[in-house]
Amino acid sequence: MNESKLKTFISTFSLPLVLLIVIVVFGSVSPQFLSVSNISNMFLGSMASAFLAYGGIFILVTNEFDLSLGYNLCLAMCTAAFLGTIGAPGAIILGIPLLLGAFYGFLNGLIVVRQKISSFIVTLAIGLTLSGIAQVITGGGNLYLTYPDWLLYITRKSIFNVGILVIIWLVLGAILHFFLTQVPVGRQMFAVGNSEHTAFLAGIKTAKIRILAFTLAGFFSALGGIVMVGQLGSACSSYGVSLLLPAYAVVFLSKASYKPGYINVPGVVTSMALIILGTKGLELIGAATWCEYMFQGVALMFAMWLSAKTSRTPIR
Amino acid sequence: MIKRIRNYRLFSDYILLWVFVALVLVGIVSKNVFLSASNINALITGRVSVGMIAVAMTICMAAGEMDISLGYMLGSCIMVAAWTGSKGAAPGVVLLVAFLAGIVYGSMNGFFAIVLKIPSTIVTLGSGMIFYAISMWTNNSKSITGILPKAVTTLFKTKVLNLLPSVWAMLLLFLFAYWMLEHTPFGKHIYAVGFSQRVAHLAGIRTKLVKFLSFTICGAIVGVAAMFTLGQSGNAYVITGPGYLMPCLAVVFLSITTHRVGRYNMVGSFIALFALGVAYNIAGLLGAPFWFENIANGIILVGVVLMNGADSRSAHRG
Amino acid sequence: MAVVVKNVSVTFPGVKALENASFTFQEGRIHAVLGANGSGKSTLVKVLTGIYHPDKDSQTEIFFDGHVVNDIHSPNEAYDLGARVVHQESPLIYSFSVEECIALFKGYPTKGVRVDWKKVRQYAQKLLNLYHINISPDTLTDNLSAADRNMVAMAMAMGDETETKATRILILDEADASIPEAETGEFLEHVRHVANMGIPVLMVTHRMKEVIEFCDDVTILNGGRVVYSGLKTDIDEDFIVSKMIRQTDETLHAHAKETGHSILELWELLERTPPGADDKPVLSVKNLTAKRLNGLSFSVKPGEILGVIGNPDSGVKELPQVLGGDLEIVSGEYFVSGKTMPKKLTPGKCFKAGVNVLPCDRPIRGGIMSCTLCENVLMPTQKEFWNKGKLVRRTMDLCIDIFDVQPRDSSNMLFGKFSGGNQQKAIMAKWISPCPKVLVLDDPTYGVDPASRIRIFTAMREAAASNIALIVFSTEPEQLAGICSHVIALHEGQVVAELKESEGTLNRNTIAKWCYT
Repeated sequence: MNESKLKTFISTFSLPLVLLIVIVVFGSVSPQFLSVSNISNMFLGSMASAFLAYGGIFILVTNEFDLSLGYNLCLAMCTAAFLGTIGAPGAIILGIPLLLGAFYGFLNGLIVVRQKISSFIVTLAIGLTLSGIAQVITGGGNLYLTYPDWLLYITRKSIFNVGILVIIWLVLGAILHFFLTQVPVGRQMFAVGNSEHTAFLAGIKTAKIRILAFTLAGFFSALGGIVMVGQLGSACSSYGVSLLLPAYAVVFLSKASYKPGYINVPGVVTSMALIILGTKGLELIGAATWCEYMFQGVALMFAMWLSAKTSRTPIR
Repeated sequence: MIKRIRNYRLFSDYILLWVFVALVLVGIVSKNVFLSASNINALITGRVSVGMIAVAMTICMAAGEMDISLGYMLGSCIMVAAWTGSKGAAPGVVLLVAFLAGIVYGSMNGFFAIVLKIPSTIVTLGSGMIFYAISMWTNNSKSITGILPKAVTTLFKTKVLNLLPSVWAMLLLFLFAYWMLEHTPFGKHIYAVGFSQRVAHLAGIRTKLVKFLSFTICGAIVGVAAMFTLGQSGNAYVITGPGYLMPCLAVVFLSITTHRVGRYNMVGSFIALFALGVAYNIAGLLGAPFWFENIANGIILVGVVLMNGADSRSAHRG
Repeated sequence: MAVVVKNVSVTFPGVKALENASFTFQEGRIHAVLGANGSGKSTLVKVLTGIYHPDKDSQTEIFFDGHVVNDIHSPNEAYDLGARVVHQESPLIYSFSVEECIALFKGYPTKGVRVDWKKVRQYAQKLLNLYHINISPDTLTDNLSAADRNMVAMAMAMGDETETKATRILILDEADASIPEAETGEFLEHVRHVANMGIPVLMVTHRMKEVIEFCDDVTILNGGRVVYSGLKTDIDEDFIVSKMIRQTDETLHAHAKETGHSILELWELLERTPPGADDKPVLSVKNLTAKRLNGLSFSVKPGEILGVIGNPDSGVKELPQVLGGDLEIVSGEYFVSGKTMPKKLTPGKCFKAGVNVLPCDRPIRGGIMSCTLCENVLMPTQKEFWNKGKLVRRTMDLCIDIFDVQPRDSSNMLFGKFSGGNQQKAIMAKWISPCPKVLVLDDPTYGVDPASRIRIFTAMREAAASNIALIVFSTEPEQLAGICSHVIALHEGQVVAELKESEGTLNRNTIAKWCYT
């Protein structure tokens, strides 16, 4: 009995513990590391990935895999910048990419569910096509976005030393958490991800739920794209694609904390913090950029392996 | 009656070949320069890297796995080899390292996918990142140039029968892979395992070993591609690689429409490689914008996926 | 009110699943429907739940509550008419709590946007109390026993008092099959409780004991027809078994058309020598323990055709897989030709030892639909055919001829394009051509047309005549009486009886008794 209690303790708190270690280690190397404004800045730098991670949550909860999210983010960036170059009003610059992102996600869901084809293949094919469209829009070069002011403001500025985006992200996280634990549709998503067959027997409209998951994922990817273009002020068809991996790694890692074996939003926030602080901390101690990629690649593998070990839902 | 059926089969089984012929005719008709030696050469040479990686990917997908790290793998093999050169290794060693790196990387993928049982698409997503990280590490994200002496690069540029050595290498790889997949027991095992691991296992085939080896062979082929790419230029660039994923996938997906309809096969890949090559060549000559190729590849991918539905065998259904 | 089904007929291509069958399900009574595989039991359930539909020209009438329909068009309509089903697989989501599973099924009660967890708890508790299920609502489904799971599924199907009023019939579709025999009592008491509410209960089951103890009325189906319908008290086990036995299979004793070639020619081509006759067993197992097998011992001699029978829980499904190296051996010994087989067996090792298994479940385990006939037939021995194109052709020609695979000249046709019978004959060729010492056949004639059956039985006899030992399992166990010299009966993972032709104990009746009880 004690052994299983210990196991539960370890699995619930392993991630926060590692985070604590990271904070302590890097904090001792450089005290400014731990200042509120620095932490906020570090987070701000990875906000695009953070929103992408929220998209990834829906996908992984319903036991799918979407390889198009990074490309979706990239296309949203380019679309927004493009709309800027033709002088569209701010609301359009924000709204159209989001709508399109949701639509691309919807398309993914539709094909995967109706045609019964593996999500890996469909989303890869669609993702690469989106990348092609991004190339068309940008003409192969960079597009610059200089307005609307409120967008640039929100994506770059802080209130009380905390980035506005970070606050938005956390609030959105709380809403997501509420959705996944307190709203029927969210609970049904877990049921579908657990066993689509059993969920179907239980009368759940699994097709609609799965398509919804893809659509929401597309929406959040597009949101990440808006965030990124707002921060960078420019868009190019090769940006953003590499953000896919850390996003998924973070979602898988969430299974290792808070509610072990289940994907959960607090876990995602914790692992996001771990990845961000870990990566930036490595930079701080002078590690080169390659470390970031290595760290992410290894993190994903490790997260997958851990996920398989602690999982309470079947892995595809 | 049977003859008529046989003839129809000949037509429908090789549809891509007829498309290729049609495209060539279009090319001849539309632009004089199409048939010029320089254009044909450029066309063929431009397909070499995609072709070699497509050989690797076809084998992998025939075995029922999907390796999306091949692009990053190519770049990383080149960078690692160039790095050993920068540390003073002899040209022969440098090229050998490129090849061995491929084998090592391929085996890594095999290990994670088969031994650790992580789904191959996810594994190769992660390993791609790791290969990229290794590329960046070798020279702090900077490219390495002038690694090989002129004598060596000239050797790699010496044309035989007016074709570059790398073209010959690609042709030989296609032949070798074709022979392996269609004329050896191992090839039969690969297809069996790719279609149904269960039935293959019950027939006494060592399915895990077959899958692992297909990853390793995949890596070895990429290693060969790395050897020739490095050998020809003597330079290594960090960004080499990821751009090959899409064109390769388009070629490999299209292979199931031709020769052995319904399965990934070498002849199909070969024909698709050049059918697409001719198509893009003509498009370029006619002034199509730079993004044409990418969009076309994307549409082809989505189209093949939709048309073949559940037959699109890949990544662990099975 | 009683639910009455009159003259239901359901025909599939080549098969009459139900033929003019009529049933009356009285309120307050548990009505068991029994029958062998393929007798029409599950078809009946699917008709009542709107999944299958009666033939257009049949005079089917289904009465619910005085209300007549000729066809139930969909599961939704079935639900509206008052049919409630509990299947073998329960709709409980692994790792969810019981109360949440109930909420998922019934629909979550909400307070605005959010789930009203209080109401979820209340409803779940009410339901569990109503059906006297002694589980706490927040228990995770993983921690429930199989009996608990099915009881909860039943409670979910029935609903609370108001919802129960809309129930016209409770259908248990082999719901007891997933519950270990020791726990079924508890489950069935709950079923009785539901019946006592005045609801007719239709129970499809293969467990004779449960029928005798718990049911009130019994209907027996055989080949889609009703062969008995009446009170349980009027009959006994022997009667039931005698009614369930399938008609004699003519294909068993028919002789296949002579082909130009024989299996011996095939073996000669492939350089294989058939085993010699011997009085010593070629395969024996002692105290074998594995999944569902609890200390099994038996042996088989060269040239013998041994049948293995038993009810579905006896280990009869697992034994062929264990013999073929596909299921782990926990303990015990397994000998082939006097040598001990290694503990960690694989199908490859069994093949090398000379034990070939023709698996059940043809599309999943028998052959690869996307490979050609030739690739399938030669799969276990592919290495021998490297670079020997002529040998491949001659081998395939012989196989196709000997095993009568139609169409001829189809070596390169995709396996999936052949009919079931031809596929099965090809799989026979696959496993007989390497000339094994022992051939294990798991349900060789399932889904196979009569002509192909004849061919398969003939091939089996020829193999035995060449001293290959055969071990046969079948979901139509009666056929074993016509082909085996010797049958062992399994019960709860052990051999409990041996039926011998020489002693006169081997006949369709005795076999049926062992399989259906």
